[in-house]
Amino acid sequence: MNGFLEILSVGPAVTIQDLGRPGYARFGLSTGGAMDSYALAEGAALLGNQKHDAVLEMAGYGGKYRILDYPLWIALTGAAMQSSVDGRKVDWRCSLLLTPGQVLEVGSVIEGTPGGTYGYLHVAGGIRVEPEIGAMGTHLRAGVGGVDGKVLKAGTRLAIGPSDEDSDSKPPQKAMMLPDPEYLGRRNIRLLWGPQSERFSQRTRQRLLDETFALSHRRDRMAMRLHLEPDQPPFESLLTGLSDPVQDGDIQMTGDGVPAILVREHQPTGGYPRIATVITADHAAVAQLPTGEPFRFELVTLDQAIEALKIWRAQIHALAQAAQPVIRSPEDIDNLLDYNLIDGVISAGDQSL
Amino acid sequence: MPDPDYPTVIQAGDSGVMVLFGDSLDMSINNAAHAFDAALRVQNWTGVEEIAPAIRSVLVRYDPLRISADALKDKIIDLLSGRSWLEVEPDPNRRIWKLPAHYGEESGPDIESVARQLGKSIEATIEEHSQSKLTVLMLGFAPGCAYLGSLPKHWDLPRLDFVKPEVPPGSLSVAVRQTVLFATHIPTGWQTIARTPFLSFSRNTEPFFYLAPGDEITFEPIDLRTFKDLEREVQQGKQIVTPELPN
Repeated sequence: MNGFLEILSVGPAVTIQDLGRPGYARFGLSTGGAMDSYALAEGAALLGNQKHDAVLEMAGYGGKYRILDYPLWIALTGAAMQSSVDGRKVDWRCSLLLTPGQVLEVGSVIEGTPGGTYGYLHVAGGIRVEPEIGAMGTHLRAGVGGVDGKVLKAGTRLAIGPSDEDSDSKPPQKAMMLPDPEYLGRRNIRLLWGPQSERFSQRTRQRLLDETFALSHRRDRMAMRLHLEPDQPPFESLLTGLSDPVQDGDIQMTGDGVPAILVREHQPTGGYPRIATVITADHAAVAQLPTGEPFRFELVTLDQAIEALKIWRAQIHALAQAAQPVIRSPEDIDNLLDYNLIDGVISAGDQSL
Repeated sequence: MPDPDYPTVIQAGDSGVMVLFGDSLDMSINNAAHAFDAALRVQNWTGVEEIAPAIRSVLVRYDPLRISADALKDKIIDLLSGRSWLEVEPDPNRRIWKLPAHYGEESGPDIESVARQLGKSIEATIEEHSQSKLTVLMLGFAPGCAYLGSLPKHWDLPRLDFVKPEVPPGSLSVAVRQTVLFATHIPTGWQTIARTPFLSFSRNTEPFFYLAPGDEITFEPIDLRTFKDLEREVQQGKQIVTPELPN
């Protein structure tokens, strides 16, 4: 007995996502999956979902979603967006029980620090669609997964999991919250030189480390182009070589001399020279950079990259323990007098405690 | 002449090691990459997450918290030193496909232009292309998209100076002595000469992908009517071609 999530209206780039499809690069399909793996894990921790459960990834803008048939626990993670239920503000990184007929409205990313690009809507049990090539997540470039391999459209009714009867997902009992993570505010993106870095001149490589950049509007789940200011000339562009395998985080120098960071739906092979690779621990941070936000690249050693990955994984691993019961503030409670103020259930403190 | 710079093992990001076998599109280099890929895959080394070959290289993606870069590279160098990879014979168990292909007309709008560039009749162009024994050099760009090589030397055709916004799945396009077989709707700057009703991947049925790196391919010219019939069978979920193994 699971309900539905009905899409009343939707942003231009909302997709069903999960951990993607590792293992098929040899057949021409990159892994894909959620742009922000931390945000994916946050939702699982708040709702007691499995780590592979499918969610909605909302790039820049969410939409309006109505709950049908059964009450539904939801959680919102990733970049915080303007959001409300029946006109009442909803907090990010908190789980929340919605009742049938209620409408969740998710708008644009809240401006200011830290900002971000991708917000995630999780439902207890996960979104359920027919798996394709072993997963539910949408690979837009390949046209695989999700609903018809495409971005979601208004009018679609999404079924709610769990996808298998044996799932040991535990339905949540109470509202939980997680603290705001640090990576969303990261503005120094760490990188390593790669197999083709030495094809570039020392001067070109130094330039990548010395200048301040921003992501341009030409960004999607496949690649994110840098925006060069008028006083930033194009980079040295090299001849295309033989196609070699490509990885998430590779910084490719396209023919017009503008670097592009390759992300989840990158081509599995490519001949454009790649100047460097963003470390795995910063993949979510770079994906979440707000468009136009200044940032810099920072060269690290392989040991430092692996140390950073250890810390990153430990943070994700600790999310289930980090989730705390929500403490509600009095102004959010309709009938304050019904509550017993003595037993400490209610704190007058800030809701973000 | 063996190139003393190859094979070489290079760190690629914090979770990848790349093994390169040469710096040109050469069948012995491509074959070396496929042979080493096959050798790697049976090792089942702890921490290795994915092995992906391309035209002249193999990427080993690993979890650096389960195996260190140094330990992995030592194992790779050890495995490399066991054989002369550029001299290994093609895999005796490689699969051989004879794929039906409708040349020219709506399926291959650039056949006349290609024939003109080759200085051959359309018939002779079709005969030479279909009878060339091609190898899947790599799958890349998009799911199931196979790069097949190598055609005879005079097929070293340039890419178009524009990109066609989309060609349909099954299209066979040629350039630089290769044929690329698309499995999805794809933009291309190559010249499209034919279309096969065979689809190299299925989104619902395992093993999902039919062609593998190293497979051998020739084409069997068919007429438009046969193409339409086979296309219908594919849409109904039928497998219209099965590969053979070498004798």
